[in-house]
Order: sequence, then C-alpha cells, then structure tokens
Amino acid sequence: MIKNPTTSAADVGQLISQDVALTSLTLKLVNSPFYGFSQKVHSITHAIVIKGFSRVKNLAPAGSVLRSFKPTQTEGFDYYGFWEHSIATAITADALAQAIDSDYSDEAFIAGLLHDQGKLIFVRYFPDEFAKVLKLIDRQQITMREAEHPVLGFDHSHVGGWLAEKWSFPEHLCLGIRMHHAPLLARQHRQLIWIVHAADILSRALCIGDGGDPFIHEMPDFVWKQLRLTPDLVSHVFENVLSGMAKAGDFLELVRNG
Amino acid sequence: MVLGEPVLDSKGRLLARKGEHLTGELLALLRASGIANVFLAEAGVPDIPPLAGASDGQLNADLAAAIRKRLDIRFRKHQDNPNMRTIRHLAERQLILAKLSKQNEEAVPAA
Repeated sequence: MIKNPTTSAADVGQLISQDVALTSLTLKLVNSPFYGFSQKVHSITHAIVIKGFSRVKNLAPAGSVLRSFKPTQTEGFDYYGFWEHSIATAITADALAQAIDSDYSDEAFIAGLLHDQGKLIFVRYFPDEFAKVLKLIDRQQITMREAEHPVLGFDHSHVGGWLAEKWSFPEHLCLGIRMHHAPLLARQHRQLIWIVHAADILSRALCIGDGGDPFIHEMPDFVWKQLRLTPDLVSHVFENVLSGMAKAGDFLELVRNG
Repeated sequence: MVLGEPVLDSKGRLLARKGEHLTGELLALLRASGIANVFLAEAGVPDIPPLAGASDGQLNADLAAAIRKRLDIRFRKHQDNPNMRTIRHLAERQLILAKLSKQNEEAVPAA
C-alpha cells in the first residue's frame, strides 16, 4: 500500500494505527527532536497533517526494521554503533538532498537510515559467518564488503535490497539500499542512490558510529560531479550532521531499547 | 558524575555514552581501554585527570592528533583521490572545531 502513489493520507494513517506497536514506534520517531517537529504529535493523522504525508509515510519501513531486529549480542558487532552510523547517514542524506534541492528530499532520510539493514540479517541469521567476516576485517584490514564476499558470496547491500523487496518497500528505497555501494551502475532513481552512497562516505568521514569496519569507500568523481558537490556544500552538510546528531539521543534510546 | 560526551576508542567505537554515570567499574574499563580524558556533564567539575599526566596545553594537540589518526586509517586507501582528500580535510577541520567548541563551552563558568 505504501508504495502505491495513489494511497491517501487517511489510508496510511488508518493502516499504521491498526498496529499498536508500529503506531508507538512511528510516533516516537516523529517526536524525536532531530526529526524536526516543533510540536508534540499524538496521532499518525496529526503527524501527516502537520509534517506532510510523504515524510510520515516514508517512516513506516523504519518501524518494520526496528521491530524485526531487536538489539542483539554478537561478538565484535556493535549494535548501538550500527544504528548510530545509520542515523548519521540518514541525517547526512537528508542534509545533502536539501542542499542540492533534490527531488528525493523526502526519501533520502529513510534510505540513509536503512541502507545497511542487510548487516542486521547477517547478525541474526548468519552469526557464525558474520563473526568470520568481522575477524577477517580485523586481520586483513579490509572493508566489510571485501570481507563479506569471500565468506558469504554476497554482501550486505544485496541482502538489504532483497529484504526491502521482500517487505514491499517502495522501489526507490529498495534501489537506494541495494545499490549504495554501486553508484555507477545505477539506472533508476539514480540521484537517490548517489545521495545514499555519498552520505555513507561523509558520515564515515565524521567518525560517527560503527559501520562495521574503520575504512571509507571511495566516491567516484562522477558522483561528486553529478551531485554538484563543492567544499562549501560539504562543510555545510557536515555542520548540519553534527548538530543533527546532537539531537538524536532519543532516537538512539529508542533503537537501543527496541 | 555523568559523562558529558560519548567516549570512543581509537577505532571510533563507542565505549560509553553521553549521560552514563561514571561508576568505578566504567572508569576501570575506560582506563583499561587507554582513555586518558573524559568530559563530564556537571559544570565546574574538572575532567578526570589524564593517565599519563598530559598538561592542559597538550589536550588540544592530543585531541587533534587522535582525530587525524582516525582519519588516517579511514582514508588510507584514498590519498591520491582529490575529492576524497577534500572530504578528509573538511571532516578534520569540522571535527577539531567541534571539539574545541565543546572545550570552550565547558571552560566558561556557569552564570
């Protein structure tokens, strides 16, 4: 329903409200200070009215992911750091999309937030293999993707994209997750993919959270040019990210407590 | 005493969150992890003394060096890429400014 462009605000409000847990999560998300609501929101319909349909509708997938992947203890995996990196990437993607006046301004935040959700699948369903990945990163000082392929045969972006499709997330979100490490192969929703790719790199540059490895991927010159990045624009985004993260405490608590 | 800032290890991993109470157990963990300083939330309460006796003058240099070290690791494969060099330079400047701003805020006595 959510990916259907003809779905109305009332449809989404009614659907989300039928699920008490999802309603609670969505309201906590929209009431987080860093998400930008100036007043307390008490209902999904209220959120839609004051913030706009698109922004609230786009938060629903986050509730699904948070509910499905509760905090877990896996040696070498920092669950809290994972979400801190994800939130930083979401804020970066949002700031970047707004700075370049992107058509994906309403979608960038959620795409950044969920871009690494494939790692949560590995932690939950392939804990032994994932532990090998983490050890390989530590031993050979390589990126997570470089370690995932020899151990698992695929990487978190593929699995994250698969899950997004399985859960019927909108196409742009599926591609933003699946392609965030392959921006040059993007054919549809290209700008969103480039934004998520760049946001992942920029948030890692600010050393926020734990993306699973201490390294940074290279941003192709093509992406830099397509997004019309400049030093001033990147500085502006960095400032917004650091101030946004300062307001993200409630959301991190929400994530930590499941 | 409550932490006024998250505490990260040399790989940037979170050891303790902002707002956590600085218990003896946590203090021991931080010391064992090589953490020399932490920022406290209470105004007027000095930082935990450095393990190696670093002076106040060294503190900024130590923080800047720690930031550069982390960025060196993160960007070590991209030293020839001009755009990545730009990102690194801007991130370093932003992180150091943020740390210095935090320090200055804490240095101002409460009204």
